[in-house]
Amino acid sequence: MLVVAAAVVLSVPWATAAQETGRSKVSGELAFGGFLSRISCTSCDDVTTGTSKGGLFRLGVALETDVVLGLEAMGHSSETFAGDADEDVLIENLNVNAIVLWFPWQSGVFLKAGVGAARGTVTVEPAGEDPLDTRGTGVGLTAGIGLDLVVWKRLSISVGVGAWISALGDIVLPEANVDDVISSAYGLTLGLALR
Amino acid sequence: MRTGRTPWGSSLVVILAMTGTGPAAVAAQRTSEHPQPAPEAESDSLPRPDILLAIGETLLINVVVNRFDAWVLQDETERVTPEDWARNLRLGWVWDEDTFLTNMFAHPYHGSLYFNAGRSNGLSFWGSIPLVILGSWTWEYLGETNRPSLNDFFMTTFGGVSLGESFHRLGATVRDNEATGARRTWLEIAALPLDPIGGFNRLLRGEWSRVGPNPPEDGTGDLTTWVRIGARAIADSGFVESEEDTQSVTPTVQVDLRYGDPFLTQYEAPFDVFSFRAQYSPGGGDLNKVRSSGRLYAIMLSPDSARHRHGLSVNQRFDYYHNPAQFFGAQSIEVGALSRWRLSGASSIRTELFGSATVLGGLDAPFAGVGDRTYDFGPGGGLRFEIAYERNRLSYIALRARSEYLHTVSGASADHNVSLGGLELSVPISGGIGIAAQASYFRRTSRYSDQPDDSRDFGQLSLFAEWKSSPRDGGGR
Repeated sequence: MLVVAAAVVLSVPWATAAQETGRSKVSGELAFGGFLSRISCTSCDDVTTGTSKGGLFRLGVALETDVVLGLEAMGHSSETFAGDADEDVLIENLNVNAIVLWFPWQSGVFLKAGVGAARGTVTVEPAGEDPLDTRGTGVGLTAGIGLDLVVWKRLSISVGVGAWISALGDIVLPEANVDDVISSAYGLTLGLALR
Repeated sequence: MRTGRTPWGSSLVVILAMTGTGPAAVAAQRTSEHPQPAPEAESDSLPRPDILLAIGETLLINVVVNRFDAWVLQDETERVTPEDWARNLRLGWVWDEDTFLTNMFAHPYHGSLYFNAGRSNGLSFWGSIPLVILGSWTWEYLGETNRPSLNDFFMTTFGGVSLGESFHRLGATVRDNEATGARRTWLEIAALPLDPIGGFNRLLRGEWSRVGPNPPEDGTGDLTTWVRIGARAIADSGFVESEEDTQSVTPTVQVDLRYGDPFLTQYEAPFDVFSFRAQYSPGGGDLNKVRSSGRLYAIMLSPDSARHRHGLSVNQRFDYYHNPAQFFGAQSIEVGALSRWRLSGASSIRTELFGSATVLGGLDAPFAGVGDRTYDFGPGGGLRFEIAYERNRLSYIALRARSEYLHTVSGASADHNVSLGGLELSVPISGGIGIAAQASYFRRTSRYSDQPDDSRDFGQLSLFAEWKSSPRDGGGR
């Protein structure tokens, strides 16, 4: 079913439009999406999972006809990691990555890879008390696949599936130090691209 | 590929590294026999990239390595089951505890196999990167019973791209599509350690015997090779609190390669200029240094006719230092300026000033606290400066200084500073034979949040007999 759907998507007129119009030297994209988030650590026997929502912004420059080099800022936040009913937990992640987009075909499909810096903030708000927040800074990775559906000249609807990995180091919480935290987000984004 | 757990595994890595010496010598001989560059030729790429075959070979590499480790090496971590796959998918990434050699060198070589599955099937440099990601990702999640290792993924991907493109070009330089007979076959075999996937694909396509033009990646006429054999004396200060100093003298073999010239080779594609150094000292850390730098992008700020040449460059670097004092490794991207200041005759002064971002570095740390692992991982940044006196574009005296900062994200709660510096001297005697001397200094300072600060020094002096091939006069493409 997925293969059939992909074949249909790739054969509709917007695929041809992408080929006919080519791509801009400078490109940009703004997208929003939902993610499955996961947090693990060195001393953790298991992982903590939740859902998050967020968005991304990309700016790029075409190196070749099928390669775009750019910068991507992706942020997502989640309030679904609270373990104790008496406290709210907000986890926010920001990744700023240098990325490469590769368009292997004329259909608008692209592959993405990137690396950069990551910042994670955990805010714990016990009931009736002031919130406490702590941060970790480290390195981020991203990879994904996307599709530009040209709607008008160089304006496209961009659909993407991606993974964002953030290695944040040690996070100091009120009740414990969490060593070597790795935060992962896997999800779908939908947005507008000028390429 | 777990090559760091047994003596045979470590030896395999050394053999893989130092067999570059043989192909490098072959490439140098081709350079002297064919001083003129090969005529502009079709790429070694296929008329159309075969993406499906490249993907298939990438996945096949994982299957072959997994089954070899499981059936031949009897490695239990390779006997994966669907339950292992399900657990890995559920739990996700973790930092592993492999040896420094395995993490910092063996994985990049593994990654280069994926990369060259792409290059040898007609994909470009950029188009081959997704294959490294695919190969590494599927290996980490599906190839081992261990949880997927984030540091392995970093090292395999970045190191694989760097080593892969370097080995792809060196392989093309060693081979000679214009040769015939036994010489042709031996050249194809000589390139196998560098680019086994490319060699295998060429065998399948009948290109081991087909005569034709050489590809653009052939660096014949633009490759300079140095092989140095000598001795290395080291002195290690030990821990600050300890009065123990260690000193030793060990035999050492060093290989240097320089492909292209950053001032003469017009930028056309990533890694059209790169350099590579490997050093092996039995009893003194064995494979103790691997350093490579490949040009990702460059622009010249001065015209070709200018007396003094200036340019800006973006390079991808791979560093691996493993000496009795400490381990240091890093995958980084650097941006900076380089200049060649022409003096009288064939003499010039070359300067380089670069700032770098370390994607992931590793440094030994006794308080790492991650199981059996005794080194920290983290991102960082640094500065590098170099000044050299050159004649005919060959360095005779070079002074290098570099400072790196590492922020730990796995290991001890620490920040590290590493300073490296050195002076290198090369004195020609006759033809390509000469003597060389290298003095270097390595200092690290670690600041822990819950331990005393740590500082160590490492000095090194090496003397070599040196053989080098000379680039073709006026070289560059």
